[in-house]
Amino acid sequence: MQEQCLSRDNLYMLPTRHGFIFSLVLLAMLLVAVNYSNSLAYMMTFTLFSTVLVSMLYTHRNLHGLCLTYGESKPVFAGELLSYSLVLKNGTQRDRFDIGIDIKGDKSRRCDFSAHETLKIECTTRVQHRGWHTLPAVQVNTRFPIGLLFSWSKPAQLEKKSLVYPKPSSWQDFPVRYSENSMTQIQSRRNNDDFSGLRQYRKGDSPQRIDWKTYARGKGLHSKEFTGGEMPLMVFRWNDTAGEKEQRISLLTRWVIEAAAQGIRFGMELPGKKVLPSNNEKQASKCLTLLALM
Amino acid sequence: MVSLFKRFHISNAEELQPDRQALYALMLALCLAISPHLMRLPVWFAALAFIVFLWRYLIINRKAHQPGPVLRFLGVITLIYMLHKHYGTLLGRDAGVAMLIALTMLKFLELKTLRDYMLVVFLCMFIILTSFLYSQALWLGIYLFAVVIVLFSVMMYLNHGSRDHLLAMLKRSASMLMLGLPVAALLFVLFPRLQGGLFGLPGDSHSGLTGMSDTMKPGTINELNLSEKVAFRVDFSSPVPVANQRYWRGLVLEEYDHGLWKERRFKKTAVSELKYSLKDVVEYTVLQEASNKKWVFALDMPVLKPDNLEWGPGRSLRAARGLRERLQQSLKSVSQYYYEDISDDTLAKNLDVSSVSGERVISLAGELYRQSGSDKNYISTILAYYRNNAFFYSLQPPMLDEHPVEDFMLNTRKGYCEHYASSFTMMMRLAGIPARVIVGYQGGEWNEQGDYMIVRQSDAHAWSEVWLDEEGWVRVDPTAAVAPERIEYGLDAIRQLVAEGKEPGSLSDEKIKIMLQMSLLANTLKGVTMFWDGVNTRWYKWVIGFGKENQSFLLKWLGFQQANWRDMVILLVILMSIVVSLQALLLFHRRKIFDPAIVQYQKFCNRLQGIGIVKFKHEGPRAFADRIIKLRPDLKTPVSLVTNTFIELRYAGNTGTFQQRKLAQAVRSFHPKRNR
Repeated sequence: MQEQCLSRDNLYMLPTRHGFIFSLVLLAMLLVAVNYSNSLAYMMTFTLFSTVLVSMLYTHRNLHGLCLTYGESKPVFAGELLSYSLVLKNGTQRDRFDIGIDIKGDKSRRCDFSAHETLKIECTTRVQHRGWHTLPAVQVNTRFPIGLLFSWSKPAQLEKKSLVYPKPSSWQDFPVRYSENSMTQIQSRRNNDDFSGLRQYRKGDSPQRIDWKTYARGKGLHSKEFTGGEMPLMVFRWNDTAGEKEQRISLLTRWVIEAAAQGIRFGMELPGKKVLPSNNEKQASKCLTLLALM
Repeated sequence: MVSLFKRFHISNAEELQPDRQALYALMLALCLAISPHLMRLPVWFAALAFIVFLWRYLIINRKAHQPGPVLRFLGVITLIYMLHKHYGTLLGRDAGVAMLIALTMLKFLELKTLRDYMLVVFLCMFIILTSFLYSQALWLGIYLFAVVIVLFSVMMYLNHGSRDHLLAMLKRSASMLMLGLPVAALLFVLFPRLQGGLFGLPGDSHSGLTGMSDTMKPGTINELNLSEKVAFRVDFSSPVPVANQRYWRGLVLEEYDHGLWKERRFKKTAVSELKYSLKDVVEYTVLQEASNKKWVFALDMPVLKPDNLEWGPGRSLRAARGLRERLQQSLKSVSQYYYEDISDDTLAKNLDVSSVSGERVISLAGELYRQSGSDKNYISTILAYYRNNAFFYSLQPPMLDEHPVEDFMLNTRKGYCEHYASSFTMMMRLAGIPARVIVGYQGGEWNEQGDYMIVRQSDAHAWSEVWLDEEGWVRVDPTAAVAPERIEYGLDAIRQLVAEGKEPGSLSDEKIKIMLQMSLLANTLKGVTMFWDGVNTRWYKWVIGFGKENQSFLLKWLGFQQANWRDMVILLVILMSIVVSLQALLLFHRRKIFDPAIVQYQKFCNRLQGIGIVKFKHEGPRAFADRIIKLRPDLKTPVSLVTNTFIELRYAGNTGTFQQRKLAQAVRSFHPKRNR
């Protein structure tokens, strides 16, 4: 159930504490009316009673037809704040008042919203474990209109899951290995745009790379050399890591993040799963998802 | 319950911060609740209200603290002391209501949570209810509904997070009340009513009721005679008797003790039958005001005794208890009757002259009786004696000495109905004719607006009843001999005559009628008061007077012969469920959109379906049109005409009648044929 639409099946109602007190007051009124055989007292008692009875319909209607669903949320790494949004759709042409929204583990909120409005409630929660994080159960309630009756919806697990990537470990060097096509050693540097030195200008070098300062000193044309410029290819293997499972996953996560940040073409080999090397945008999330669900 | 609440983590009432707007709302509620009681409360309540409101105001502005428990306790004790000093008791209706109001006001000093605020609103509702114990007038009934609307709005206001929809809240609570009314009416009509109360009523519940006294002493000023208060109202279902036949029999006074007429101690014996002819029977319903007395006034002479009443002495009717509420009673009477109810005991009582003193009056009676010869003639002689000896009708008669009958007959000769009835009855007895005094009302004013008769306290009257061997008990009204206007036109006519310096009995009928004609303004005013009285009477008759009797009558009419408690509850629950379900249907019904453009477009689609082109659900009108044109290039013109017009109407906001007509025309002339 991705969306919970409120109807008779999942709405409940009970008197509030005020409602119980009020019913005692009504009883006292009825006793006075009976004892004094007082028609106006009867009339007032019955009018109050019937109005509260009708207010039940108002209370029910205030929640009836409301649809709850979770909006899309972006994956985060374990230990970070997951932000998600609850969407309340008002499917009818009625204004709704004083709706309390309780998201389990979050503070409760109260709000009004008008006809055909869609209400988006932004929430955050700190997630600790990698994998699918089930978003909390939601319950809406109302004491509208007069606070004597309390209607609430059956707390619904909206079967909405948000992915949590593993927590990356602290930095460790990429596995030392030759990339498969160029056989040049991968320089284990953090940033791909690090300046690594000057060399003689060759035809075809980009004018932006020419070190004009050296040229100005009359030492001829030199080109600046950067480490990241070579687009190496890497494959992270499960066997490259050691230690406990979580640690290994964390390390792989770190490598994937770094590789993606440096724009390196990379692939991944996990027990039973293999991701072919690529440097397109989805590669990182593909790998991280695999790691998160391991 | 707690586990249930925990399971669904139901949020509890939040603390309400001292809030000026909420306080204003509560103050409004309290003012509305107290205002019907205002005239009855001790004056120092004003001071109490002022202190409480001021203190509360200071608390809100953080210039004062809520009173601590010691101070609150002292406050309550002081209040109880003051109330006890004022009322002499803490029990009973008056003191109880005052206490409720005072404690509600004190509650203002300790408003903390929403629950406290709500409790004050509930107490206000109760205070309003208590005001009905004093009066059930029509305006209070209207007031009730207004106040309930406001109090529900106050509750909404207190419960609602945002506070800027005041008018909407009033509107909503009004519509809630409207929706509630059918159920309330059902409950009012069908809720099983009890006869009499549950616990008995406090002693002060019916103070301030006035009714006719059970003794009569001519010469003592009777304040009732001057009061315009309504004694009872009468609804006639047969033709209304003429004024001089409208004698409302109340009490029969047979014992005379030195100027004081009393009712005989009555032994409940079988009451002898009345002989009458059926065509004379007058049927009517008396709606008698609460008087705290037992007497029930019936047109002279009641034919039957209703089950809930009893016979009093001399065929008078009375209730089992003093009338603390209005009594609605159907009765039958006859004006021509033969009433023969005489026993030795009665005879002796009605001939008793032991306490009549004065030689002169006794010899006068003997003298006149000898002159007349017969009982019947003697009656005429006495009436003539009144007429011919300068007796005057006066509401301010001189005091009578220790021989009241003699003094009146021979000296003062000024008095009102009681003097005449008393002296006439004694004159009869002195001559050996059994006679007694009847008190009740005479006359009544017809209300054109409501088609019923109003009998006021000022219509109170006394007359005589004389036993004649051949005719039984016969009514004789000696006042009529002196002041016929009293009988024909009521006490008002007498007053007006006196005000103009004329003697009662001195003017012809024509002249009295001219005299009694009122100015246009007075007439209009009278019309308005009569109209108002009519509305009020219906209110009492149908709403306030609704009780067990009407209920069983209604149930019988509905087909429940012997409706018991259980049947009524079942009937009530069934009807209530039906009503509430209908209301739910009304409330939850989703309004369908009746855009004529959509109706036309639907027709267009149906025709296309007829030739095998079906619009997909996801397809917009434009895409559909493109697809049709691709399939059937020959339909291009009409299809694009319909589609474009429809789109203009629906989405371009171009909703003129011209466009509507254009679309209708285009659809009407669109008759696609199947491709071969």
